[in-house]
Amino acid sequence: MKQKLNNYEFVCIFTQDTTEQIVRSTVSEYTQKIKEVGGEVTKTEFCGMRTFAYPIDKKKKGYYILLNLKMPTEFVRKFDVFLKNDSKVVRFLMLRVDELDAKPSELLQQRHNLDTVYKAQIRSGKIYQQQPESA
Amino acid sequence: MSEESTIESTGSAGPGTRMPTRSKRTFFKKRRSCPFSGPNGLKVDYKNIQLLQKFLSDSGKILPSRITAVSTKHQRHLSRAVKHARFLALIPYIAD
Repeated sequence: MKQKLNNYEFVCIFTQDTTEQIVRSTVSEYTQKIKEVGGEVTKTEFCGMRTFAYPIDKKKKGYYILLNLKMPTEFVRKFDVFLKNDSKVVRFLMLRVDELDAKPSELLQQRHNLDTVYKAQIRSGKIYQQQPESA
Repeated sequence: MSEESTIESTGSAGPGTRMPTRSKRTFFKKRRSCPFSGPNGLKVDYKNIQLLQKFLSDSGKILPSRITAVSTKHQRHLSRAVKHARFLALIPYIAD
């Protein structure tokens, strides 16, 4: 029987004490787990160390990762339990989405360029729309 | 009497002179459309912090849609996105 796969967007924050290497190995571990249950990881992003907007567990920073997943629904619960027992993980968010975005996420882009795409969009038409002055 | 009549005449002249000024004053404030609606609309994304912050007050509260002109449907999506972003410590619950 073929399992029904759903699209998920998964953001996970690791503690500031981890190194990039550890993060990468844990993520590949997750990927392995997901593949074992018949899922698929379509995108992996290492968004790097970010400063929190507020302290979490008296920590100021965390390492953010983002995964786009295709995963059977039954596995989500098990994965949740697994993540909660992982001491390296500060926080995680698993969201079911209709479509997975293959493009690099804003979280990753923010490291490099500050507001270009949407700002241009806003300027060009939407928000600051001005009437052309008639003579 | 004569004074009154002159006052009246100026009074009656008043609206006549005011007419062009009034037409100048009644400018059309173009109703802003929802930035998320339409085929070229922006996408509500909890990861796009800089976009979300345009719809937040300085203290980090979600602005009402009557100010930002976001449609009811997208205001719902927006508020959910803001709450996801807050949970991930991307934006603060309370900004100081």
